Amino acid sequence: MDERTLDRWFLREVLPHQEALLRYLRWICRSDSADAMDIMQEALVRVYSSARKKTPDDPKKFLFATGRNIFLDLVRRAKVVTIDTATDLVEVSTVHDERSLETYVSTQQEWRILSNAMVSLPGLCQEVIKLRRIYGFSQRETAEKLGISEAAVESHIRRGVRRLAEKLRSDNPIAEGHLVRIDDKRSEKKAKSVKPHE
Amino acid sequence: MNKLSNLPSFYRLEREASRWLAALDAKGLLDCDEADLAALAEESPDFAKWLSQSDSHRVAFLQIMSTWERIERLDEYPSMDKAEQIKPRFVLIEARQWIAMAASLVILVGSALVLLPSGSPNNFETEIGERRVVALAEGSNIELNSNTKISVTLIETERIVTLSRGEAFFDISHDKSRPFRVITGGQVITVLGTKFSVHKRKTGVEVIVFAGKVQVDNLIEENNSESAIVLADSIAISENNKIIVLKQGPEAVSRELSWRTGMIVFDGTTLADAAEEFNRYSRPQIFCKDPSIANLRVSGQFHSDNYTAFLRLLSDEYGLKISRSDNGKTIEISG
Repeated sequence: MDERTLDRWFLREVLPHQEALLRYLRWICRSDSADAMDIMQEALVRVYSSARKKTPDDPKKFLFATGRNIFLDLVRRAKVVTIDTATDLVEVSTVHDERSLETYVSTQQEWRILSNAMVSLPGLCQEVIKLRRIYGFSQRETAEKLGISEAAVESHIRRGVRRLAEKLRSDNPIAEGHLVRIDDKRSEKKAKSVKPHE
Repeated sequence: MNKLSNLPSFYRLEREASRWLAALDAKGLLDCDEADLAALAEESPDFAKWLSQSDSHRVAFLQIMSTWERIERLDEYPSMDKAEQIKPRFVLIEARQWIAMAASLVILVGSALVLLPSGSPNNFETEIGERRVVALAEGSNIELNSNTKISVTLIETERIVTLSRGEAFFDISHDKSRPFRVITGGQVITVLGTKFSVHKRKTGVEVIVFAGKVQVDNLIEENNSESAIVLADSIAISENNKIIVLKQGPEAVSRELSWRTGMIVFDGTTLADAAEEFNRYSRPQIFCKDPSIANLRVSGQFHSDNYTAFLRLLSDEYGLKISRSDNGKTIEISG
């Protein structure tokens, strides 16, 4: 697969799941989320690299499995595994196979998520992104309209796109849905007298 | 558990990727719909070098590009208007926010790109309970309140809005060469650049100036017009061919403009007036037939779609009786 096709495939089939993966990882890490972020990132990179040779049939399942394996590797090396952690992870993998959970947000929801993200940006930053990306003005036109330098426009773009990425990560409604299902499984398991977690 | 790993820091990668995105964008290389990393690498050898250092760089860049692409797609969402896609001279972008979904958020601005022909009027309308923002390419914003209809025409020498129904808030960008006029029910409101609202009421037109100043002209006859300059924090009421200007102060003005955040504020308002205000925003219409209670004064802050909270206040705190019609279309309050 040539790189351009691979990139498009990755953007379309893998990246939409990153928020769900992050929530899953945060839940199993149960430590500061910086770990979960780094594991998510590593999982994405591994999926990309292996897709160079062959793209997986079920990208989402493969992504989650990769994330889980990275976590288990690290945990094994740190020797802090509990029996509960291991059995939990086995259960969870079946949840993510279920197609009944909606994978993609509806258009209306996507619009609302994006709008929310845009308005969370501070004033000038929001204006820059709006003029540049949505209205389609050039960098020079944007700078002129707002009365700032072109370097300032570039700086606002840089910061704005990061803030948007952060907001989109934390705002994904579908991920919440996944979390609910996982908890249901966990409460089922609790009845079988497995040691409860904090 | 302590930090588990020596994996490359996600935040560092994201920082680097966004720096590259901004730099490539500054060169105008990211104006396309879909990113082509190979093409970008060709245009910028420094970027190519960073990209080739590791797949983690590549993935980080793809991630930040996916955010960039998603935002651009805001302009693809279908608008509820049927706009003709003729070769545009002006680009009008509009966003809307249904009050029912608003919660306590301030007006959201999302976008749908609506391409419109130049020189001809373009109509925007809201239904009962709906609010909407129309953003003009020259930088002005028009916020439409519930049940409002405007038409916008932009030409070389003037910017004209006709308000045929309802209430709108105007945040107009300053342009000496192109005055902005709002025409409604026998008045013309002219500004160069400022923030004000216009409400077409049954009896007349109410203009509230938030900032700057506006000129209100009452067109009595063709060659004879009464005119007034209205300054910030004032409300002008134009009725029966007379213009009355009241200096109200910023608090009163903010109260009158609370609809912009989906709120209604009552401060010693009569029950009859309060009910009438709610009726602008909700389909079930509230009536107060009992004259003994119509002049009861109410105070409070409500979400404009939350007439049930208002009714609850009336029954719980004022001990009034609320009865709904069978078809749910009218609600009557009695003592």
